[in-house]
Amino acid sequence: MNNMTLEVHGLTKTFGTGDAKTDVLKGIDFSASSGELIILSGASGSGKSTLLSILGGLLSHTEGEVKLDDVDYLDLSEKELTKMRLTDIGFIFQSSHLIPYMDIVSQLSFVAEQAGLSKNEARKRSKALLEEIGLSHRFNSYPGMLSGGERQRAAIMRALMNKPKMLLADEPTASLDGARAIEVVEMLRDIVKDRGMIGILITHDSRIFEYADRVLTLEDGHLKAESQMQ
Amino acid sequence: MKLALKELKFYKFKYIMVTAILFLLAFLVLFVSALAQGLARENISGIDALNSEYFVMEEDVENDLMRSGLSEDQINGVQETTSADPLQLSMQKIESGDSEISLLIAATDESKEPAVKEGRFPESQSELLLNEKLKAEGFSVGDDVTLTNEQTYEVSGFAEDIMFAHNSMAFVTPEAINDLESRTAALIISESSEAERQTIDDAPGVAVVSASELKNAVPSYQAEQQPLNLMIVFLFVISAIVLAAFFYVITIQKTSQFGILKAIGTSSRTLAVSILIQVILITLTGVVLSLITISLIGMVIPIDMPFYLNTNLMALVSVLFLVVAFIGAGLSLVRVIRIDPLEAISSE
Repeated sequence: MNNMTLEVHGLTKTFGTGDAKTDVLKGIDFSASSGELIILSGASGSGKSTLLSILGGLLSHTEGEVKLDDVDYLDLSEKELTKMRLTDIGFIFQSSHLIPYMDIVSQLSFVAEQAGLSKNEARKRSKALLEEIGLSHRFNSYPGMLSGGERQRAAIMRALMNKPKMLLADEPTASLDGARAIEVVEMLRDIVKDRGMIGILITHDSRIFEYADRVLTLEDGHLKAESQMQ
Repeated sequence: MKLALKELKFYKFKYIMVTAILFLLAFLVLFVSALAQGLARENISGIDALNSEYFVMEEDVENDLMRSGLSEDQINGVQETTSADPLQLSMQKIESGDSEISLLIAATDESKEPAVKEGRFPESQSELLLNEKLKAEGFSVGDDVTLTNEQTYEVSGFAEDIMFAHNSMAFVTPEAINDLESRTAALIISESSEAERQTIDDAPGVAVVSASELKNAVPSYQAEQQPLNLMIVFLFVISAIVLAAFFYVITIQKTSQFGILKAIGTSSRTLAVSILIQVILITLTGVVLSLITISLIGMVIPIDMPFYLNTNLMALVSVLFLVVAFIGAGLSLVRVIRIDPLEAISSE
């Protein structure tokens, strides 16, 4: 995974037609490489969530191309995109979005089993990941029994279960207090570095900018500024 | 599978409630159907017990067995064409406590005798085989029964289902019925060709009647079955709507959760299979419980109650419920396949 890159060229997204036509992304270009954590920042409506959704294969684009590890994946079929989200792209949402009726180990192993791992292997990997973040005492707990921070950490580990190439996080610290937010971002940074992944994170919280390698600021659908942090 | 079972286990109470409602609906349909069939048996089981497809009756009596009477010449005429056994009938009364019970006494050839459930078929002129429901009146094998003509007969046995137009039937030997005021109401045709039946039908004063025509001519049969069948159909329609609505609402409640699962790479197929497994498990549990309950009720229900259960009815109700549940689940599946993960995440 060391030489893996994400390349975004001339990416545009337009919603509606005629008078209702709105250009949300107006030609985005950037690239990222393995082990790099990029923060997407910008005011509400600047297009960062739309950009993340397109990168995650959840939303169709209008023009442009996105290559992950040299594969242009935006034009893949819905079925292929779903498979890609399972194996190559890890998603972390604003709130944990864990399945309420599964204990934490099952929560993680379910994702791996979907990707074809055996039940035993999946459980083994789940437990190893949860131990890594200090949740070994919570193996059999359901999401409702965990604190917000624990839930979010478990959700991050779920996103890592199938060893994705890219980790996308949409305001993963929004529902956490300051200390917990820093803890989660530090954890994300370490994961991205240690596993050679590409990490893209949306946040409004300027306190966590310093943990990223670069901060890309979007304004009115354009990439307005790029700051090198480290 | 994992998704489906984990959810059922976690939300036990919710799914027990859904299963309970399904059980009650299936039970209600089975119970009303069994009552309808029970009432039907009280009208026509005597005809079924004769095991014949066709009968010859007097013409112009609107297929009414109680009004039909064949003359010797007519009987001989028919028997020259095909093999036919006379069915002799005599309406009598027997005493049971302080009341009298109407009893339709019948006699026919040995080959057309109904199946005996307890005891044996009458062998002498002083014996008779009673309908089993009369056990509820206190009759048993070996008892003496006095008919309207003051003659006394010994009960030789019981047949399970021999009733006609809500009257219990009793079978005696052809010799015994000659002592009663009887008539040959019909001829039972064993095996006949279309041409033979046509020849008989063309003869003056007689008509060939099928078993179903004969049953439909029983006035109380049609009058009772029509509203009951309508009730059963409506019960099914209501059950179908309730089940479809239940499964649809349950799926809608999970829209955002399914959206999240899709976003993290779970295929629509996995989600569809999960829904189908839940629907199959809930429906099968509810239906099997209703079958067990109705069978237990069938065992303890008083013998004189019009209640008739058979495997065909139970299989039909089970299959219909499964089909209805699948239709309900099918509506949900369309919704699941169309869930936009992005929309689901935004709505959370």
